[in-house]
Amino acid sequence: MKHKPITLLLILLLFIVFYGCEKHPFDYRNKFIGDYDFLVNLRTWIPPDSVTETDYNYSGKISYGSGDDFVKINFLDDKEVDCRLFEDGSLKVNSIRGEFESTKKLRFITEYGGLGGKATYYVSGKKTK
Amino acid sequence: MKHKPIALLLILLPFMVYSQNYRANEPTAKPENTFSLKLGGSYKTFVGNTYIERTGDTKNPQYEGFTKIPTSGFQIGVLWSHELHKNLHLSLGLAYFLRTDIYQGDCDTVLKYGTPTSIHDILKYEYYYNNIELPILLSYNLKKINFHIGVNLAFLTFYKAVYTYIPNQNAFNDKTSKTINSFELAKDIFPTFQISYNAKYKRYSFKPFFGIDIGRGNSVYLQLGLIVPITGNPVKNQ
Repeated sequence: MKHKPITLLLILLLFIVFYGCEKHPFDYRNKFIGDYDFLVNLRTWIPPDSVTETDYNYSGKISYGSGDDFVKINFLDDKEVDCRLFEDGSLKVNSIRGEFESTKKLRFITEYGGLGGKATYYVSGKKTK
Repeated sequence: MKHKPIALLLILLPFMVYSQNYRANEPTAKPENTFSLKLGGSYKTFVGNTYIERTGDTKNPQYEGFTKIPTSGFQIGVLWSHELHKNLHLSLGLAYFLRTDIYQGDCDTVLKYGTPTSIHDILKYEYYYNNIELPILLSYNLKKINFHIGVNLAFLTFYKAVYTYIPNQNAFNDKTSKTINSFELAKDIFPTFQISYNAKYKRYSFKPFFGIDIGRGNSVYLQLGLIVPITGNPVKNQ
């Protein structure tokens, strides 16, 4: 039993490294994912010259995305985007432009639509958990 | 290589068993355990070229065309040393170690090629790893000189990344840098070789040491510092 402290220390270390976190261990996305409060400003344009503007508050979520470097951002009830997240917090996919300003705050713009009109979402989010 | 810590444990087990047998054969021998405080500075430098060629096939394309910059750091920690044999010790510890990676680009090249992994044109990457590390060392004492070989296993880090960039139309503001902080699990293993010397001044024992840690990307951390025993008999073998 002389080596009990060493064994306990090593077991504790292994436990922390492999099982200590429900998120994927060693994944750079971990610091960004979680629950967020989103403030969404929606600007809808319908030809020829109708523009409406609406604000929403929504408690959403950022989770792991479809690929190793993707995250899913659920920022409204029926709106979820899957976009590439780079190590510096940049978000990049065709319909999205934006970034995390810190691990707790992000801003992005995303657009939907075509010839019959266009909806642009200006989204800012603050991490709650 | 996800199971490096398990492999380390398996490597260490025979030494623990051997130590137990050694003690069993000498029931009157008193275990030699020493606690020490370790502190020192480090200088990170590189073996070979510090410029990262623009080849297009590296794992981290964002650093292509950048230069790795030497940096300084420091460490402080406690070591517990257990005698396995007359001149052989196993040391375990817990240490804080500041390690830094810096990649510097130049403005014209960054604007020409862009940054493949950001919406910004990044000029400089600075990563500060405030690591909590577990040193695992085997020490051999040769009179007053001690040779240590082992690893520093980083398992937690407070990570600070600073990105310096050229403002462009994709940015939402006119800032020229961004800092990302986070507390994360780490999985870096730094093989290490150190030499220390048993010194004594009046009643005080201490061990100046010089060490080399081997890091990623042809980097080495040269270290200089002191190991100050706080319990036990640190100069038994003098």
